[in-house]
Amino acid sequence: MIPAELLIQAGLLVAAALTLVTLSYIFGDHPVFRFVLHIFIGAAAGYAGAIAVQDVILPQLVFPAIELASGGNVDVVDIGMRVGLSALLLTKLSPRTARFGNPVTAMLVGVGAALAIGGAIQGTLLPQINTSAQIFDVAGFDLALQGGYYGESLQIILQGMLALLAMVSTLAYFHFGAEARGKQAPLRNVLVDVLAWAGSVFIAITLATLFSGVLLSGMGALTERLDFLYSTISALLGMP
Amino acid sequence: MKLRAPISTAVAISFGLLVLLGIFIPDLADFRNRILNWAMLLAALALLLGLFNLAQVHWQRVRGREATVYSAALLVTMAITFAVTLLQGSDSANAEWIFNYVVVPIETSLMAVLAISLTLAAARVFQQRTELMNMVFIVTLLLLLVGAGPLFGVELPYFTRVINPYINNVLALGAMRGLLIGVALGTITTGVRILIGADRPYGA
Repeated sequence: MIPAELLIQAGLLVAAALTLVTLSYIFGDHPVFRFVLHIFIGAAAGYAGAIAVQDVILPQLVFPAIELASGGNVDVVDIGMRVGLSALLLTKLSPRTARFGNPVTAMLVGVGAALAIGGAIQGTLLPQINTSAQIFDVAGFDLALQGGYYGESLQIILQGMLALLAMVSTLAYFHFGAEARGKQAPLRNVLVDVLAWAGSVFIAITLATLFSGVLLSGMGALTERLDFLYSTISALLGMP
Repeated sequence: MKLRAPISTAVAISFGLLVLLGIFIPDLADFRNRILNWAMLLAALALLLGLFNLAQVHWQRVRGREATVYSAALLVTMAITFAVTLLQGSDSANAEWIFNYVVVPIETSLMAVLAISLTLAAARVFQQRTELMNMVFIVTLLLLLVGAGPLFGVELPYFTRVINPYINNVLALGAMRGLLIGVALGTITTGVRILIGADRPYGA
């Protein structure tokens, strides 16, 4: 049995080496980086596979099937369907039998599509439409007006209008409908065209916002890694 | 006209409709949950099939002496991680060791490399083309970065308290809402196309 302290120290060394190699990609691709990348893919894939077996396949398929085989009180139809569907999906292992697994893949796609539709309606479309309907801060506007803060009330209206314009013009940017004009190329409505141009400006601003978010997270990760390297190397060299 | 993959199409449409109706009709909720459990099991099995395929491809590369070291490293780490996590549990000391000292450091370092790559990409955009949209993008990005925190220890309250919130809460929020609604409409269209059998991404 390896002592826990030694395991931690070895772990820190391994982590520091892997961090250094991965960060060295900044200077260009090289074989050691590729080697580390393959290690990462292998470890991540193995971990994901083990979790899938441990949390889903064993409790939902193997244990109930064993219970059924040993005469336990389980839902025979349910377990039968699970075993049957799983067996059909496993036919995908061989190219010769793969076509028998197509209906199961189709079931997964159908269920996924239905969940995506339900999620898009309930999780995105309705909440976003609901929030868009409250784009103007009516309560704040009333309060500012009653208090005589006309500048602030005007600001609330302007902010609401700008947010509304941003939303509508962004949607207009993705509108590709055009009127047919005989033998001439179809032309987009002028109003939609102007809105789409404004939409492209707002989209550029939004992409910059998202970009800055990712960049700042990356910077956070870089700072954390450099700090880790510094503290590990300091500890190794016995520096305070 | 011969219908392509009639059984698979019928299965996709019927299971999809049952799940979709189960969202809106409470009486079908039990049956919907049962189908979702089956789908969850199948998704886990599909993940395992994917891993098996990955292992098979790399095993063939090892046997064919093509990029042997990389593929062997992948196979060995995959086998060790899978065995340790499955046999000892994901909360065991050994599984946590692999996760904390192998997976997390590489993942975080890749994220750090991403920061530098993104900075270089943004600089390249600024250098190569000076179109209006690029200018809007770069100016917004610079304003947001300047307002993200103290710059060399100096607080810039106008950027952090006025410009940054204005860009995030008014300009970007409205457009983001438009993008989200667009994505949701696109998702619904794609889903409906699958449920009416117009798209069949599940083999012939």
